[in-house]
Amino acid sequence: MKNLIKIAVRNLFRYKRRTLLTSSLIAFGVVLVIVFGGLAISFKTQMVGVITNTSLGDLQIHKKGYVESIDNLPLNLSLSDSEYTAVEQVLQATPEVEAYSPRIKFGAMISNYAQTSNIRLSAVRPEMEQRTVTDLVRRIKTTGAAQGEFVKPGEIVVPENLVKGLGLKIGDEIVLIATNKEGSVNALPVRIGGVVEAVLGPTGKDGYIHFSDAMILLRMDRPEVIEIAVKVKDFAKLGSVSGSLKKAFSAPRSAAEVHTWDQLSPFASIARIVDLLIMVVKFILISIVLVSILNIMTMSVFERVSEIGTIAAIGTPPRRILMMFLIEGFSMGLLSTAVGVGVGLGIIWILNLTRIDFTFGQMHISLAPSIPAGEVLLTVAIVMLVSLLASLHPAAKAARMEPVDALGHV
Amino acid sequence: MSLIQLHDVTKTYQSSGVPVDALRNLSLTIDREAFVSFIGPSGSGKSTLLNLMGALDKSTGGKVVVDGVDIATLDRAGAAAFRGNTIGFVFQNFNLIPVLTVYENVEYPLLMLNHVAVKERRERILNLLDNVGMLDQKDKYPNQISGGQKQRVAVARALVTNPKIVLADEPTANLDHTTAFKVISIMHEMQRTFGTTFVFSTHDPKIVGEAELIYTLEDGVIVHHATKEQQRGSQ
Repeated sequence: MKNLIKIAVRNLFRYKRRTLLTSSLIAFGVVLVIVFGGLAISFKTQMVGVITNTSLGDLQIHKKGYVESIDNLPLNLSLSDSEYTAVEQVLQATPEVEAYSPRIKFGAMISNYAQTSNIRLSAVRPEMEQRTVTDLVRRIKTTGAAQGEFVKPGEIVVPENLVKGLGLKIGDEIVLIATNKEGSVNALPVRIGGVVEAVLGPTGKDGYIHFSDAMILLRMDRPEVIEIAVKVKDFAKLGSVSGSLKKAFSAPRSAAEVHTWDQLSPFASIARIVDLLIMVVKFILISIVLVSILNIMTMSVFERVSEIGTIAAIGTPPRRILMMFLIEGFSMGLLSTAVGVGVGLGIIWILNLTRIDFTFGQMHISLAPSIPAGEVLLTVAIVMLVSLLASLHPAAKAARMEPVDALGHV
Repeated sequence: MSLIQLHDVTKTYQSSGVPVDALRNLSLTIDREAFVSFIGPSGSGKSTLLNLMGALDKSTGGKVVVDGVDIATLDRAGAAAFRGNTIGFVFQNFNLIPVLTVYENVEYPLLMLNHVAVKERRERILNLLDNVGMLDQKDKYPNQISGGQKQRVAVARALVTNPKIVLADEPTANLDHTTAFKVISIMHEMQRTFGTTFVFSTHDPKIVGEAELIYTLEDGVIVHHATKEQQRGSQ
């Protein structure tokens, strides 16, 4: 084997310019996958992070059937006190759950006594909410609310679009008007305690009030939780955590159902498009490697017909000839990948030194490209495998040559 | 005891759909340790005959038996193993592997055999390179040595596996007269030293005279055979 490798590698360097050109092309493909992958994964991670850490949470628990009518914010699909307690017990018994926050979600009217608009409200317990959506406070401009109390009883955090639209400012008093699940209308005066920037774009109209205020406004005798946002300790394990929670709530008598962030946010499709783009770039790499190696190995076989005849004549078995050309193609892939991975990781390192900042919708994203080791290994494995596959046909052709014909080839 | 036996051998090629007889009902035997040459014009069947003896090709009719093995019974891998163990080849165009040094070229057939120990391999190669006068060139690549030197390396490569037969197809065709004589004399010396049977084809009448037994081929048929002395007497 050592000698086969020696011959294969020397044959590669026999046509230096050709080898250099082909290697450069493959290395470029590897660089493309690594750098694009690094940027795309970073973009996706940041985007998902913004969405889950500022509003949605990693997953949410609702009353069964709520998500189907989520646009209507139905108040009748709430978890009763006992149902919420049952869910809470499951969450507390799940070690992978970092935090959770119960919410009452409802639609209301907001009026400054001169103008009225509609608003979507999340009534929260601030300390629990902040532990669950950890970056929410960063989006809120206040007059200096203490940690964990970004919204106090009697206050509202208003989305900035409404602040601009209704000409509001922090400290102003406004009135909230809402209809409860029995159809009774009620109003509650509150003071603007903060302004939240809209993460989901210019149409965002999500505000926050205290849980206790929502109970007053909606005339609830006991808490009726509409939504529980959950943060998991390790986001990479979201699938398994969600699976185990779904299993826990799968009993027919259970009132709750679990949805992960990607089932609730339209931005999940962007994340899927990013994954698709990474796949496309990998497909381009596969095409580059396949065509390049197939081309160079076919040329190599045609140029060395007489040489193949000689080695066959002096006793080289057909399978060794096959191996010789397979190793040659594999070595080409290995060499190119090593260069490509080195350059690709180098570019990612440089990009990390000079961070790329940009705004996506209302999201401020600072890209710090990084590529998981698994992705690098997968890229290397793809190139190696495709190199072998591309070499197979020319190598088999060489191994099948009749020595007497090959020796007579001019 | 005969080392090579050909019984009523025929070889027919298809040329543009037309059958062409390269060898016709040819029978001969070659003894061990012989030094035999085949002469004849182009197309007389010399190379075809050597290819059949070397298990590089199979006859259309008749039987080719080399060292007791019927060549027709060998498959591709079996023929390769047979050639590696029994036969050495010297080619008109030297056919050294360009990416290997002189030493590595001679070593290559031994690597295919798998059963020669490293120390013995090295001794054998150095001894042969010394015998053909190429020891001081052992680290050079084929493109760094002359045609005569290449052919001497090819002779060493042909002998390194201790084959019973060395087949040389026009080994001096690309060499000048003096170098050609040197190569033939080296082959002769190797035949005497190692007891190897040498069979070669040539056009050069002066080189032919170096063989102990000379066969003349025309249109795929042996038209004459003579010993070295008989050949000289007839000239």
